Amino acid sequence: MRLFTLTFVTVLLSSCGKQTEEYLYDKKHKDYRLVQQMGADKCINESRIFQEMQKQNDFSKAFKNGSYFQVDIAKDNGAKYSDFILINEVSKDSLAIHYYSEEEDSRTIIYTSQNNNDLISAIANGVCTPNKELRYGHSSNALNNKTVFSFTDSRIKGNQDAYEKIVESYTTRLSQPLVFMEWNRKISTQYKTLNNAASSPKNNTYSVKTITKDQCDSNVVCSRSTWDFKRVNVTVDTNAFSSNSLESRIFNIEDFDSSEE
Amino acid sequence: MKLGLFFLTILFSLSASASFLEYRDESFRPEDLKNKKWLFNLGVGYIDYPTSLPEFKGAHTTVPEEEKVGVYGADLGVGREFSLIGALSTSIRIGAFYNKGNENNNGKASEDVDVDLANVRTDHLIYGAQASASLNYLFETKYFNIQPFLEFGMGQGKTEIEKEYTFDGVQPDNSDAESYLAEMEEDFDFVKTSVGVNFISRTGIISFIKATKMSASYNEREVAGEVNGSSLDSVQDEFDEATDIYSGTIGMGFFF
Repeated sequence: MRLFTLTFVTVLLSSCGKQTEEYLYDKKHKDYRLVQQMGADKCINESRIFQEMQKQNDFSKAFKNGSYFQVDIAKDNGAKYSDFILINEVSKDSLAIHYYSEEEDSRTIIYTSQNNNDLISAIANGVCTPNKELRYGHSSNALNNKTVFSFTDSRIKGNQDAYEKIVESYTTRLSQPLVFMEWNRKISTQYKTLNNAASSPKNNTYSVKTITKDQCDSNVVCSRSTWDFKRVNVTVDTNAFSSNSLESRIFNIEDFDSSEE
Repeated sequence: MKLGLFFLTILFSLSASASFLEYRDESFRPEDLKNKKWLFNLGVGYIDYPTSLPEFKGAHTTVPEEEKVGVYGADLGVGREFSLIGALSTSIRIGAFYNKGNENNNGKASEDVDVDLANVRTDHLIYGAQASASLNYLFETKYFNIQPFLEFGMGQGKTEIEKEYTFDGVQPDNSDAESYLAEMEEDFDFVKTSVGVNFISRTGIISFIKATKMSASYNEREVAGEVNGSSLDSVQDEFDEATDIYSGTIGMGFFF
């Protein structure tokens, strides 16, 4: 009983704090748009993941020449195969990335630090936009992650009775160039026509993993020496989030059919 | 939380006759109580304290010239009871009180913008020492004794209050940002009158409840701080100001 009394008094004295929370602005307030913009700016400037992405802008510090990666691809039609990537040239502000594929044209993708900056902006703009309808989906604490960030870009054409919908789920890994999100991706396509139920989603899945040179050498596709690489560039649309067009993508790799149904 | 704790205290106060027996040794004899006249008590108090911080009207908070704040704390006393006539007795006691509180209000931008824009923090500390005398009358019942009392006291106290408000602003140039900080210290003398009831178990364990009116006269009030960059510093040492402060205390004690 004595112990209880002492505990009780201690708890009481330490419970004399009062914490409350309130919202200062509602949608009718004249400064609401400023508040929204401020929230977006703060999200872009203070989210840890974007700060970490910025650190990758000096490619010569972030990536190693001669790094190999394997892209595992699973398509809705049941096809499964692997493509391969080699970071072939690294400079401070440019990467030359060889993409080896038997299914598509092989390419050398020229990825610049300007592309990288634009890509960070494109993601940040979409993730942090005050417009909920356009905002890229992400988990609540993902922005504080230092190494991985996943988000979803949904686009729809039509209305609830008849539509075509594309949902692209990207994963960016800071151990890889940001452009690799092209191959850390799941793209899901779904249709609905009038008087018919929505189709089952068609999913194509891509995932990138690091491999060693020995692993590459032991693979007939990766080790082939007769590739004819075509140099292609990357274009980034920093305002892609603001469009619901099915064709609107965050970035495109020249001559690369990104939809790949 | 606080209400729950108060409810618990009341519950335990009213159950004095039975559950508090365990405070005493099993060999305790009720007749020994008649020789035990010293008493000790510890209470939990709530004080409704008037504050006089420099006035301020901001976009998201207002500090009125006068405001009452509720602060919880502890009240401790040691004294001795003297029998007068029959059931009438008097108690003389010295004691101290210590009330401390903290309020923090966090202003978020809006429901869909999770940004902390404003904050209001208020810390209260009120403490002092007192001497008191009470007149008591004992009603004996089968299970425990009831002792209403009227208490008079006097003492000195000190108050330390700190209020800080910050608003970061939403304009791109932060032109609407605001800040307010006031740290106030007051010294006061007081006389007080309390009415209350002791519930005394057969073993001399006391549970009590009392209400107090304290008339405080201030000796010195010192304010330091600033509002939007302008100083609020001031010292006031000549007062013609007396304030009534009300408080309530519940607690327990024992004769020894």
